[in-house]
Amino acid sequence: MNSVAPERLPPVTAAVRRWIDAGWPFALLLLFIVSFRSTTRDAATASGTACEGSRSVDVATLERCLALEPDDAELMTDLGDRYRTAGNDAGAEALYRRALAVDARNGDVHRRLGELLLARGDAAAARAEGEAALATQPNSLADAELIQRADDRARSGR
Amino acid sequence: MTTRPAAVAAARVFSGLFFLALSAYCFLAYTPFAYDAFIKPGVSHALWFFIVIAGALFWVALLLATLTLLPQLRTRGARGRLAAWTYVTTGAVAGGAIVRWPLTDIGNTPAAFWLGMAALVWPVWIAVIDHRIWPAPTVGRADSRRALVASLVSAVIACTTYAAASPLRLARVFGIDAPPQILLTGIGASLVFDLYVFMAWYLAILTVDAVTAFIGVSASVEYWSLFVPFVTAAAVAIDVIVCLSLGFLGPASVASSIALAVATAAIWADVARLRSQPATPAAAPVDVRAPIDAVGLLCAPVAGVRSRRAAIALSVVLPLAANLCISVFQELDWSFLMQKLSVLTFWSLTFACVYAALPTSSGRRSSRAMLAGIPIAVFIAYQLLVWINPEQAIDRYAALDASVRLLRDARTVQSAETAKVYAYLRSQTLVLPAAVQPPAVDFVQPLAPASGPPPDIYLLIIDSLRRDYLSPYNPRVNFTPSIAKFAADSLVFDRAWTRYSGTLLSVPSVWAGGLVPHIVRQTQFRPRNTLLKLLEANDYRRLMDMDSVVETFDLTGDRFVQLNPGHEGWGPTDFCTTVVATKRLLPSGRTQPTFFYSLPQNIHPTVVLNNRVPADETYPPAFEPRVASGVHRIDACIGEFLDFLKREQRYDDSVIIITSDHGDLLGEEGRWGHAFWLYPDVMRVPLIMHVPARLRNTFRVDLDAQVFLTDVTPSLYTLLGYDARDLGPLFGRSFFGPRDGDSSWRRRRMSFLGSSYGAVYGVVSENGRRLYVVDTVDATEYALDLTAAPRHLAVTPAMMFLNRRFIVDQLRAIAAFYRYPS
Repeated sequence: MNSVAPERLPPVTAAVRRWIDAGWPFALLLLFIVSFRSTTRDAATASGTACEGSRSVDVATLERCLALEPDDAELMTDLGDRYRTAGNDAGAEALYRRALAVDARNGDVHRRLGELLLARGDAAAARAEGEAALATQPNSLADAELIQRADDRARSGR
Repeated sequence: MTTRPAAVAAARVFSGLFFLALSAYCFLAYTPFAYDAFIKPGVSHALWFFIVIAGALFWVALLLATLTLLPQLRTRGARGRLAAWTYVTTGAVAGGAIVRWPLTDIGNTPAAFWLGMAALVWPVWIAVIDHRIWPAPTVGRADSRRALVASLVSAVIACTTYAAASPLRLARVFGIDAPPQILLTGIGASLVFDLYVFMAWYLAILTVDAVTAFIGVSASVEYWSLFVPFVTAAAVAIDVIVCLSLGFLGPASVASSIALAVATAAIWADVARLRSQPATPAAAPVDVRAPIDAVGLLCAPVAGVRSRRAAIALSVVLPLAANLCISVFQELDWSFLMQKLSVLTFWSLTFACVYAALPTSSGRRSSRAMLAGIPIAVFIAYQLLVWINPEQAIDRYAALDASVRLLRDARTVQSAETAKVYAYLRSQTLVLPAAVQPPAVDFVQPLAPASGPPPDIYLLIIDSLRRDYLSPYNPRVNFTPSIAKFAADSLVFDRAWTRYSGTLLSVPSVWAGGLVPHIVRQTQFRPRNTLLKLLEANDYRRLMDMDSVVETFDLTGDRFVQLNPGHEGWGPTDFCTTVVATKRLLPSGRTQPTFFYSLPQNIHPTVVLNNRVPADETYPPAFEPRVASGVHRIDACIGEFLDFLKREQRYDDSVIIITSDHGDLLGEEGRWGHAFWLYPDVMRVPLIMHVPARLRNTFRVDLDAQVFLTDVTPSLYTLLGYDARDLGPLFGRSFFGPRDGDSSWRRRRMSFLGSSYGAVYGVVSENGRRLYVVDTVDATEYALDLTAAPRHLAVTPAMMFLNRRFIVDQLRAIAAFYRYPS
C-alpha cells in the first residue's frame, strides 16, 4: 500500500514510515469504534420540579405547575378547588371547563362544576353536569344528590 | 480424493447450520425466560418441530459427514484417517445417546447449557478434519484497494436494498408519518450509517493486513488473523442482540456467544477451504493456480474464488432475499431479533459477493491518501450527521428499515448515571426464583364465607386482545356485535391497564391482586393467590381451561374441573372449543357457586396471523384483517357462551368479566407483537364487567378513572361483601366503593408498569393520559401523551428524573415485600 518504496528513504524515516503504515489503519479503526456510539438519547439527570407528587401546595405553586403542565386535568381540578375555596368562582369554573376539555368524562370535575353552577343558581346546567358525572360514576351518592338538589332548586324556582 | 469439494461444502453447510440451531435451542432452553416464554408453552411451532426431528437431523448430518469422509475411512494411510474415524465413531455414540435420551426432554436445566456447548464441538471438529484432509490454497496478501471498493459498493447496496422496499413497508406500518422529506433524510442517514459500518470493516481488514505485514508473517497467517475481527464482531452481535433480547445475561451468555461465534467462524473457514479447491480432482492442482488473496479466501464461502459471474448473480439475488426475510420475520419477530440478525447476515454475504465480483487490482498501486482518505471522508460525514442529528427522521425511517433500526439501537450508549439506573433495573428483572421468599397475602383475614349468596364468576382473559378491536371502545368496529350487546348492560372501564405487558406476569398479577416478583415462574404462589383464597372460602366449583401459567398455581382439588384436559400448554386454547366443553360440564343445579376461567389464544399473534381471512369477510381498512377476523370469530363464541348462560338462567346473577392480559402491536411504528414494549396498544386493555343488579346498586364505581387488572380480585372481594383491605400501592384496590365515597385518588396517582420479559418499566399518570417508559433493552426512554391519539413527547430531564425515581422506588418496594435482594 506504500506509494514510495521504503528502501529509497533514510533509515529513520523508513522506520517511522513503517510504523505509520502499520498503525494508521488501527488508529482510524479505533476512532471509528469510539466515535460510533452516541449519548444523545439519554442525556440528563436533573432534579424534578416542585410539581411532582403531592398536590398539597400553595396556589402560586399550582399555577406555576399548570404553566409547566398545561394539559394536566387533575392539576386544573385541584387549582379550581383552591380558587373556589378562595371565592374565585369564575376562575374555578374556567379551570373546570378547561379540565373537561382535556377529559370530557371526568365525573369528579362534572360534579364540581355542577356544584358551582348550582350555587350560582343555574339548576338546569347543574343537573346536566350531575347527569354527566353519574354516567361515568354509576351509583355515586354525591352525583345523585347534586341532581336531586338541582331538581329541588328548579321546582322551588329559587 | 474422489469427492467433489462443492458437495462436501454443501454437506458442511447443512450440518453446520443444524449444529448452530441445535446449540441455540439448548441455550434457549437453559435461559429461564426463553424456556418459559417460548419452549415450554410450545408457542413456536417451528421450535417444537425442530427439536422433535433434531435426533433424526443429527443422524442425517452424521451420515453426510461419513459419506464425505469415505475416502479417508477406506484408505489406509490417508491424511486425517484417524480423525475421521474418531469423528464418525463418536458421532454414532452421540446419536445413540440422542435416541436414548430425546432432546425434547432437555428442560430448563444446566445440562441444556452444556449440551449447547457440546453441539458446537461438532462443526469445529469437522472443520479441523477438513483442514487436515484438503490442501491449503496458495494465499496472497489482502487486496486493500479491492476491499475498499467492495466496502463502498456493499454500503450502497445495503442502503438501497432496504430503501427500495421502504415505500411498500410504509403502507403496512401504522402510526408513522413519513413524508418524502423525512423519507429522504432517513435514506441519507441510512447511507451514512452503512458507509460507516462497512468502512469500519474495511479498516479492520486493513489493520490485519498492516499488522501482519509489519510483523512479517505470511499471507496465510494474515488470512487466519482476519478471523479475529470476524469472531469478535459475531460474538458481540450475538451477546448484545440475541442474548440481551432473551434475558440471557451473565458469564453463561458471554461464553455461549463466544462459542457460537467460534463455531460459526469454523464452519465459515471450513467452507472457504472447500470452496477454494479445484472443482474436480482432474482440475489443475491448487498450487499452480494464481494465489487467492486473504480477503478473497475469507469471502469464498459465498461465491467461491473463481467465478465473478456467480458472485454478480448472487449480488442481485441477495437484496431480494434480504427483504423477503424482513417480510417473513416482522410479524412474528421478538423485539426485532430476527430482523436484526438477517441484516447482519445480509451485510456479510453482500460484502463477500461484491468482493468476489470485483476484479483484482494487481498491478495497480494504491496510495495511502486514497486508502485513508475515503474512510476519513466517511467519518466526517458521520460526524456531520451526528451534529445535525435528524433524530425524528431516523426514528421514523427506522420503522421501515431494519438496518437503520439495528444501527440506531447499537449506537445508543448511556451516561454513567443512566448506566447505573439501568443496571439496577436489570438486577430487579427476571430474578432467580430461589432468591424470593414471598409472604402470604390476604385482602381479608380471617376469611370466612361471604354472608350473602355468592354469584357465579366468569373470568375470560383473551390473550393479546386489543381494546380498539372492540366496539365498546372504538365506534369504527362493526365486527363484535356480541360484545357490544354484552357491554350495553355491563360496566365498561374506559381506562383499564394491565400491569405487565406479557402473559407470564400479567395473569399471576390478576390472581394475586397485585404486583408480583419479577420471576418467570411464580413460586410459592398459593399463599399469595388471593383469588383462589376467595374461591376456596366460598366453596366455588372451578371450571377452568389450563394453560402454562395457571398450571403452576396448584389449583387442582375437589372443586376443580378442567375444561381442556391434556391442553396445559399454550398450544393454543380455542374459546369456541371451551364453550362446547362448558356447556357439557357446567352443572345445571346451583347448589354451589361456579367460577369459570379461560385464557384463550384465538387472537394471539402466533395463532391469528397464521390464519386466513374467509373470502366472505371484509373489514374496515384501519384494522388488520386477520386479527379482526379472529376477534369476529371469538365474538360469536362469546355470544354463544352468554346466550347459554342466559338460557341456563345464570347470566343475571353472575359476575362476568371480559378482559385481556395485554394487547399487541400490529405494525404500529413497524412493531409487531408485544415483546418488551410498553406501548399503549399493549398496555391498555379492554375491561368489561357484568355485575348482578342486586350488587351493582350498592356500590359506586368510576368508569373514567384509571384502573388496573390487579384491581379485579379485590373488586370481587367487595362484590362478595368483604371489606378488602388496602394493602398499599403494590396491590390492587376495589373498583367498587361506598356510594358516598370518592375515587379521585385513582386519577392522581402514578402507577407502575412492567414488561414480563425484560428490564422495561413504565409509569402511567394523569389518569392514564401520560405514559413514560424506561426501556433498558433498547436503551431508550420515551414519553407519550394519550389524551387523544398517542403522541410522542420530548423527554425532559425533569420527566426523566421523576419517572426513573418512581420506578426505582417501586422496584425497591417490591423487592422488600417479597424479600429478595434489592
